[in-house]
Amino acid sequence: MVEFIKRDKNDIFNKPLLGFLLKNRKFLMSLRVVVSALFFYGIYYGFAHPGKENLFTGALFWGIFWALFMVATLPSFGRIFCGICPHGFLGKYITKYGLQKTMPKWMQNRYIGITLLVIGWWGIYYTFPSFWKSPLTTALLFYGVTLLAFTFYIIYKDMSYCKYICPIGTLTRAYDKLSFTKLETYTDSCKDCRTFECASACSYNLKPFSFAKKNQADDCTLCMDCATSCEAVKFTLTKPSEQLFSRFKTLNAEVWTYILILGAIPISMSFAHGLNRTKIADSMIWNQTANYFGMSEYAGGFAFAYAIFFTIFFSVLGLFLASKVLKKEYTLTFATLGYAYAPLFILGSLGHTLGSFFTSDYQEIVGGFAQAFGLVVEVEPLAHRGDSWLSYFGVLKWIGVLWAFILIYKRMKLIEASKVRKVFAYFFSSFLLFFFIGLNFYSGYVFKTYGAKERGDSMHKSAMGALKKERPQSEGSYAKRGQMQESEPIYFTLTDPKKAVSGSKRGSMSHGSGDKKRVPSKEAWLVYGKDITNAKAIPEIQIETFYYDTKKKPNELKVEMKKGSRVYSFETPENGYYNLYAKSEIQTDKEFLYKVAKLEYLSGRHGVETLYSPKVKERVLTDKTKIDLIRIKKDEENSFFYKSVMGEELAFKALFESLPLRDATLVITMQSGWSKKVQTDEDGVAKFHIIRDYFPEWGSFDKRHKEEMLLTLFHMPKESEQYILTYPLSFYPNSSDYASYGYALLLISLTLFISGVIVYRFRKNRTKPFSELRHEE
Amino acid sequence: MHEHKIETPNEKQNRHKAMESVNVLNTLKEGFKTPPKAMDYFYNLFEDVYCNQKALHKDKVKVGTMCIQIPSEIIYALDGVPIRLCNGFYTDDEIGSDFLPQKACPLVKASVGHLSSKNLTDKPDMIYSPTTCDQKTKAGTLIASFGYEVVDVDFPRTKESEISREFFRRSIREFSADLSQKMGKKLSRKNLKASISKIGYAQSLYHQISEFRKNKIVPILGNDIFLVTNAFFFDKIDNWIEATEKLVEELEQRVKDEVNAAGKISPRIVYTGSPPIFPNYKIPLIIEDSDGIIVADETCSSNRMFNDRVAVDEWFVNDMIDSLADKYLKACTCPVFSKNDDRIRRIVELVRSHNADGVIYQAFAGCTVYELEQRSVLEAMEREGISILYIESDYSPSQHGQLSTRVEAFIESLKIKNRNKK
Amino acid sequence: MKSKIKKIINNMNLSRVRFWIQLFSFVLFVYGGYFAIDLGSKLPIFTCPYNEQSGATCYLIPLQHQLSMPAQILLGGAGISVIVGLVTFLFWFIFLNKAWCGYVCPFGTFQDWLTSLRKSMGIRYSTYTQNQFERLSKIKYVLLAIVLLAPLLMGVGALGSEWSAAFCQICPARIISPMFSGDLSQWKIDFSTKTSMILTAIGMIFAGLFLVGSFIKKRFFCFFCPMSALHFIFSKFSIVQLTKDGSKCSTCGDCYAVCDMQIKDIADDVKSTNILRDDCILCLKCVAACPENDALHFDIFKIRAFSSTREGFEKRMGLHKPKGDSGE
Repeated sequence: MVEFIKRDKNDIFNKPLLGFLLKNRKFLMSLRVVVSALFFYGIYYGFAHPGKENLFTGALFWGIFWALFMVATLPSFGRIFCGICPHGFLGKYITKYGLQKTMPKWMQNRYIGITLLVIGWWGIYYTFPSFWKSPLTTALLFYGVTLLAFTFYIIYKDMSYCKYICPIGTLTRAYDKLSFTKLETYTDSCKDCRTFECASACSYNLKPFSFAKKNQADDCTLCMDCATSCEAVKFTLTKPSEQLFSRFKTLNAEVWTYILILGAIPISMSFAHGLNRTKIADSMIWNQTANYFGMSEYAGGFAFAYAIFFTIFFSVLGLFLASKVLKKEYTLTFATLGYAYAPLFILGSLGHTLGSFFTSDYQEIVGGFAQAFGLVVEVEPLAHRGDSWLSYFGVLKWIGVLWAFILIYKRMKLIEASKVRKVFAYFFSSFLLFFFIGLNFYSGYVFKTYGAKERGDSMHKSAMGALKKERPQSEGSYAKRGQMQESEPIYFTLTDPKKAVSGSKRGSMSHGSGDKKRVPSKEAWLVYGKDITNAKAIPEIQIETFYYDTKKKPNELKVEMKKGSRVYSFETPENGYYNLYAKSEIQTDKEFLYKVAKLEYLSGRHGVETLYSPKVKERVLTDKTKIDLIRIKKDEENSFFYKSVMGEELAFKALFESLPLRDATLVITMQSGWSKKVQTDEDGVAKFHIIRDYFPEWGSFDKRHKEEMLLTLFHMPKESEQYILTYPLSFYPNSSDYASYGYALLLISLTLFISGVIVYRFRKNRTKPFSELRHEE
Repeated sequence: MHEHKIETPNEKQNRHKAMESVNVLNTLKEGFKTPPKAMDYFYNLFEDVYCNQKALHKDKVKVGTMCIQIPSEIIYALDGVPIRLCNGFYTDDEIGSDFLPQKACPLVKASVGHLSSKNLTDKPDMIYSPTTCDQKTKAGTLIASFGYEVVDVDFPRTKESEISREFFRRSIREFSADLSQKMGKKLSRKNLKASISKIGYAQSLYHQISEFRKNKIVPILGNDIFLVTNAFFFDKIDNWIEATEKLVEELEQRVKDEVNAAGKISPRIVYTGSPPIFPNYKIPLIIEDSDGIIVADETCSSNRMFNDRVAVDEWFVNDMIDSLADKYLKACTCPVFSKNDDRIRRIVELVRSHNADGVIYQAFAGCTVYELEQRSVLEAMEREGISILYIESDYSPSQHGQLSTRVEAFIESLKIKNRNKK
Repeated sequence: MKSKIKKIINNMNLSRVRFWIQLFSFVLFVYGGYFAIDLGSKLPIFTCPYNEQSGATCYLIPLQHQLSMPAQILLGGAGISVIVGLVTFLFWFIFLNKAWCGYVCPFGTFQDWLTSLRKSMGIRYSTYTQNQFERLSKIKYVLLAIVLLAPLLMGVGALGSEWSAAFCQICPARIISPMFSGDLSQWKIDFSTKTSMILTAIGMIFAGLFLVGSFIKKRFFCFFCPMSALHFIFSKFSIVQLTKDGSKCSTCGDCYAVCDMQIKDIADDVKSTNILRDDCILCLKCVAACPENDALHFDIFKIRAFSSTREGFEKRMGLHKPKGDSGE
């Protein structure tokens, strides 16, 4: 026994708070008593309130203990779940006064626990989804398990139940290897030890003094009994999964645990909950098999079986091929490389659990405890489904994948083979990873392409969903046929008139289309109405549309119906000006109406060139319409990102039958309703300034504030003939409204001056090239 | 014919020193295979200076230096001549014994003795004494009491820390300011750069010779090289450069002609420890007498003076001074420093690059720092698998027999080792 | 033949070679637009696209843009574009490692020119003390954190859209690079929101500090450059490395004396073989200034491409036979 020891820096026992608590028997004892009390109270509460109104039992067992606490601690601190487990805690005392028999050989089989877990719990969970969910079954389950455990503790010695029978015993032992802690001893001190207090203190009959040498802690449950018995025991911080970087005595059951749990949890979930929610769920193989056997209610069970099968198939096949390539025995390859699969499940699961903790579990747990202890606490969930920051938990899964890749690399080092062989073996042993990644991508793809099933016909059938379906879909402000006056001008808009209801109009940012091959395209709508911000989509009328691309070639606009409105789209493969036209001629008994809607769209995509040659702004001359209005571009305009700004003078040239049109009226209507008329001069040119009408408070100034205006050109050669052309335009605040060169110059000059002076003075006065050491007094 | 004259003490001292000198020079000239012709310049130089009392720098300001840590570049830049005052004469050693304890280092005793006699051909006008080892530090003050102008130059005894770097940079700045004031001349970018390149060129000549000594056939004896580098202590630098250039040329020819200064199977020795200073070539002569050949050395009278160079990014005076300070501190492998690692690495590197068979480590009895570091070097060599012999000696001619037995035995063992290797 | 080429390379006048490479890449990256050169947007150097004539785009811009996507989009599929971007960046990076800084980065070159201007004016440079150096060299990681975190926080809605390229707003390259093509439009303070006002004001101050700093301190900005921090994370993967043979090192400090970045390890560390430190710009001045044969070398695929040699050192330092009698 060692009384005093100089602890390493990374020894957790050396840390101020944790060190004290973990080595404090009273604290550990009371912690375990509290946990056990909660455990039994939860069981009692389940029996007492078997109905759905019981929130506590579910919250305690499925909210805190399992899932959250376990997946959060296993890859971090290790098996502390077992350290506070009521079974282990009470078992220690029971076994002391029990029969102390040796467990029969056939029962000393680590596969028992894991089989119970995978088949008994997860198999049933998928096949009969609601079976374990009621508080009563939960209570029954834990009651049963507790009885079983205690029976085993009474009969057999050395906590054999934990090692072999406990459904999560092997699981925690296996995933503990990922943690960044390690319980071992200061071997230098142990060399001279002859008393082995650590071993005699251990209820599990383990030898803590040998952990360091063996590079593993066997069945240690981090109960800390040894640590309180001898000072030489240390609990160190290591690199995450450091144990797995080097050799230790491998256990096939652990590798099988990784594989089976991966199959039973994330992959089955992805089958039964993920893909089953998509529209093409019915074509999935498990659903088809279930239908073939006529057992479609138990499709979840089939999904589970398939998931297990695929997982085993890919892992075994991959490792088998790897062993062939490496020219090593299969068992050796399996045991060595299989450990690399450990992080796959646990991190993804952690992300999932944390996500649901923030969205729902937190509320449920607090609610459950409040119910059980008669408190009145009402809490809001910490986050709402769809909060964007929650999606960062999804990254954990990919960290897990990356970690697994690293582990394969690290563990490959433990095998002796040539480099080329190892490269191929790496590829083969990554099969399971590829399957896992592929499945994730596939379900993402399926959701994106086919979309989710309507809530109503998924397995979560609810009355609410049914109600929603019945309700007639409101069609928004879709204009009814015939409301539009025939003489009313129509014009193009680039924003969906249905979405435009709300006031704020941010230029929609198109983000990462990803698919590089697809030609970008732009959508436009034809609308009418005085209020530019709230224009209405035009009803179906006879209209001819076309556009000129950057090469000034005419093309047809593509027309399709989307969500009830007509969308005109055109491809914008290159940066430059696209000119859209819509033309309609209406001959009524009284007059002839010739309406043209024009839109000049400047496509400027980032990542391509910014500046253009003068050729780009050459005007398009169309012979397809009689009337045209062309913005005269200034000499200094040369950017694909040109924007009109407030205060800028714009010049337009009106053309009629390709000749300058004089004395036509150009009406400028601003979004605010302000409008102005100008006449074209003899060259057909009309000029005007965009007014500055954006005067917000300084704090709420938005330099991306976008306003619209509409130019309407009227030309009436005869009393009964009217030509109307519309030309919408958007503009932004002038940068001189918010960008100051003067202040910038002042600031930089000041900086230059002050820092210059400081440097000069410092260098002039410098006698001490290094700062002297001063003692505090 | 001429009247009988009573010999003055100085005359006696000169006579004794001439005897010591002639003894060594004759051995070098005749005791071995024909030395290179270019060596004659150096033989004559030593004869002129130590037998005929010829002054070399009559019209120049002579700046005495007690150790290598005084940058000679700065002295040359200011038009002075650095004279290194380390001394190897038994005669002077005995004179110095009056001033220092019996167990003190013979080198220090000899230097003090020489200066106390005031019988110097090129008497230094001022002396700069870096505070290196205890004995040198104390010797500075002692010498000042003889009426010399001695200036202490602070020298740190550790060199890894940032403080020591800054400390010595400051110290050298002080030194150069002091010297510049005394010389009445300013350091300029031009004169300092010129003297740095001149010394740099002299160093490159040494390195060229070192390259020849790496060959299987070694064209020159280690003792001759000690003589060449020793001449750098006091010779006119331009003459030295010219003579060494000739030596380099001749050695190049010798390499082509495969002229071997040593025997066919002579073990190659790296010499380290207390510096052999003319005429105290006792151990080097024994080594090469016993059919060893010194291919490289790690001593402050030779390698340490030439090995390290100065590099500057921008040739400003301050930069050059800082870089000089770094060279004399950071690269220095003197055992006075708290840690001896750099020196060990240098020795190992020399052994490897010169393909040496063994190391002979000589320390003067009383030269505490070398005696102290003996253990660390021996340990390191054992780790590296390099044979090493540690010898303690002094300036007295008495223990010749015992020393040569030990050296011979060591060299024999190296020969046997080589034979077994084959 | 091989040894001859080796000798020529090892004896080369590095500063001249470097000057021409830097000049070439400066023209390429600052004025590439005039020659219709566009090397993409993932370059590991400060070739700032705010300068409309730049021949490529600094990777930090697309990186910030990509990270500022709404989190759902970023983590669903669009994350691939981040990875593709990173891979492209790495593809560029592995060829030159940090030599991108020392040889290609136009912003670095500009600092070197300011340095030569100062040198020709006879003003000595300033240095940091070791203490300051250690503290200051951490700033680049802080800036890297801004580069990465500000857009991410914006993506989850915690910060406004002004933060999408927050680092660019405070980066002096944004203000100074466009000046090379006569564009002073970045010299402004944006008063549109408080955030952008503060950020652009900091940008202006940094630009001022940059001008003063890099005039008196060699490679002033590189100490703080987040790109340099990003480089260092990946520097081990590069095919080119700076290696040191500690057994040949005499710790004379010549390399430290010429190091623009004041990296002390280059002289004092005799244990590491990979001597590339996070501040290093791989300018190879240290190799050129090392008087020991093969003590420092620049490796491509572990083959010594440029080694320190005694001969090369003597050539570069001008240690030739003195002319005439003792001159001064």
